[in-house]
Amino acid sequence: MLFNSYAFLCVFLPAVVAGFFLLPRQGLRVAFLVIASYVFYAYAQWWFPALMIGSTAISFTTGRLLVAERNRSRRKLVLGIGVAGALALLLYFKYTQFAAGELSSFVNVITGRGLPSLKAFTAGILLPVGISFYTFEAISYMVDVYRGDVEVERNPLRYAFFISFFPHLIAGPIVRYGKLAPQLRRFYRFDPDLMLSGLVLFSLGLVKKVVLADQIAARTDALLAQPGQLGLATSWAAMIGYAFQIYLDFAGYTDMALGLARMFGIELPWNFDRPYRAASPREFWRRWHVTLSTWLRDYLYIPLGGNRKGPRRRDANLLATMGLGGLWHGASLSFVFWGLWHGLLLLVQHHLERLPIRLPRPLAVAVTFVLVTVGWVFFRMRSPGPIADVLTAMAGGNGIGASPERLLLVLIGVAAVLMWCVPEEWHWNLGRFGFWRLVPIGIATALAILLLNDTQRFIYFQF
Amino acid sequence: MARILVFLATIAAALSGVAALNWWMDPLGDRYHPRFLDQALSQPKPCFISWALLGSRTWGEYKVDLFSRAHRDVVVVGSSRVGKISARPGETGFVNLGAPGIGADSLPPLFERLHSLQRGALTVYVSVDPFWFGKAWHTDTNFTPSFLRELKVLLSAQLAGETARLLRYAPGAIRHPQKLQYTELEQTPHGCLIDRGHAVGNKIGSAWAPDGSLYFWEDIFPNPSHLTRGLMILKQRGLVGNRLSKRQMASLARALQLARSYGWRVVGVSLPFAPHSVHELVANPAYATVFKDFRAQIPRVFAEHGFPFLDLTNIGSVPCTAAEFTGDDEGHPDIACSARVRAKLDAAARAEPTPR
Repeated sequence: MLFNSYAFLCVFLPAVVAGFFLLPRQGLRVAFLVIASYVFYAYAQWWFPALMIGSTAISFTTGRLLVAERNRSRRKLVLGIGVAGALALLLYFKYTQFAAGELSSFVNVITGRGLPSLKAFTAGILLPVGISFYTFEAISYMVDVYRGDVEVERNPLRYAFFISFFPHLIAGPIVRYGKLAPQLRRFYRFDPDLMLSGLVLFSLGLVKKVVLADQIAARTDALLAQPGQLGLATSWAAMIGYAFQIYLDFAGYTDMALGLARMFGIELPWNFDRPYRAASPREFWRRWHVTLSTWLRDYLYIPLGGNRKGPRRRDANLLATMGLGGLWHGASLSFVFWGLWHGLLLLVQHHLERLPIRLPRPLAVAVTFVLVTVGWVFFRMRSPGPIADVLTAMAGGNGIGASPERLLLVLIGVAAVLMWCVPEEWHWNLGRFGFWRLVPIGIATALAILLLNDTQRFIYFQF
Repeated sequence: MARILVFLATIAAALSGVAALNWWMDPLGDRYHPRFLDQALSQPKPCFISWALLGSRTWGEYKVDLFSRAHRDVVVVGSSRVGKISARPGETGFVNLGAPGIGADSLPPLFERLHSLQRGALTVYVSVDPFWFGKAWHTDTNFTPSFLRELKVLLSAQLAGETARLLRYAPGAIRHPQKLQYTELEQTPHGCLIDRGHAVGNKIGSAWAPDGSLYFWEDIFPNPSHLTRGLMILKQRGLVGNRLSKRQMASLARALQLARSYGWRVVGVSLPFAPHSVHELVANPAYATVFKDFRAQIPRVFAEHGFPFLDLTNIGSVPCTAAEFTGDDEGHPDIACSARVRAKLDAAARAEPTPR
């Protein structure tokens, strides 16, 4: 079920909010939201919840076993088995098809015919939405319990809530158990300011997604459908448009998730902070998909040794972390290249920092934006031919070419003003907004609802 | 709390305003006006009604209205491919209820409405298309009013855009929107045509004949230079899949069950495609499974309900020729071919025992 669908807005959400506040006890509310979240998830495919139950059971049991076990090596073994179990589901559903395809291509090179039956078998594997997100949440819980960073959860219902809570289920933010657990133990009394804040944040996310991201997408998709036809102007307009589209799409989803959670008295972690204001690649990752970048830092980069084992090892760790971060997005080499591109940028930044040169901040922001936008080519185009076409056009290889559509430039202008002149919406004190602010936001929300018929899936749903 | 109410009320007021304006202006003719049918039926000569007067969302209502205008003995239902199956000269008991966008799930509500309008004997020719059963098929023509569906249409940005465009060019129309519903009576080689803005003559739309059959612009204003046929590219999307849609199969079975309970005589049929299309549908792995399963399973569904089924997919079984198709594709049998299909259907119906 999409947040930007009539079924969600007109039936699911009002029913769940009403049901939640009618229940008199916190335990009942948690149980109710777990059931609602499973219904929400089953709406995509009836068997998806079974998979989530599997992942939940593995990580919950691992947590319990970890606190029961005192022997250090056996604790390590328990953690290893738990993490492997959670990862096995992700690997099977997300990467088997990719691995079979690559293997078949490799065999094809040697034998002249690939592995058609293996490819046909794996072609039927459906990727369950949200599996990448809740697998990472489950892993973070197990590792945190192992490290002693969080108390083990003994109540399976509360743990199921952590994994399944529908606002963050499909596309994050990636929640840490330590942040959520205290919020589940207290009874939330209806707070009009918090409800208003949730409603407005949800609405602003909807506007970002439907009014801006989808409208930009309609124009950039048309340009990028024929990458060989792009000129310098249209290629840059398309890729800058895509840079804003993916931000507005994902940040819009996150605003909606944060807003929804607030309606139930839950504060989820923020995920974006106007990322294209970053003056360096490192700062970009402190503003873009922050819950993923901190996850990668805490559970991959630092365990690999981080920067504690010398510059060479640090560079290798950076590339490995970012490459795997790219692969997390999708089973495709182009995502790996996208991750490696960012790893390379971070690595170069580390080395350049030793030089006594500092760019003025506006110039550094512009350079970072251009480099990030070039990276989006790998993310968007997916296969070598179109990637080469777009990069060639961006380098001027096809000449200046035609002018981009005026409406695309207007939409990019609006997105740019939002990016560089207005703080991220979760910073706003939405619960205190007066009538003069609420009325225009309400009208913009109505416009978004009018555009729902033409809306697209969230980009991050596929990950 | 007051601010929450103000916020929600603003959204509700803005949406209500847009919906009301769209409803009032009705820029795409989405509201059914029976007066066009009155006007057509009152003409001394056979008179067609242009699609410019009847937006696609009104087709279900129009067809049911047409059915109710006289006592009916024989009806044909199906997609646009049944469009040319028409009444014989002087035959008033026949009506063609086919329309583009009909799918198997259109049939149960249609049958229920027909039964509520006219009890007793009825012969129903059900034309079933393979593309109804692929995973991408979407049924667009509905025969039952739905408040939610209407609301969704009224709350669409596309309709709001049309309303805004209309008001930009004709601001006064907001006071007299009914004046936008004017009609023109044009003479045609067949009789007459009720149209607006010469839409059919300008090749913008098609028209409904008085018996509900469907005529393309080139049937009404013949133009021999128009012969740009291609495969049914759009419809083929509906054929993609690895099995027949369970939902559509269940709808078809439900419709046949209803027909049996009403005591109707039903003949199922799969209309011809040009040989080139049949070859493509058989050979292309993307469509072949659905097409093959369709030909194997659909006759069985009819047989299970005690009804005959004519597989006329190959033109030789009618017989028609590869040139006897109309429109821009190879899936719409023309008037001559459709007349032969009708004769086959009539013969099959006559061979059936009279239902209890």
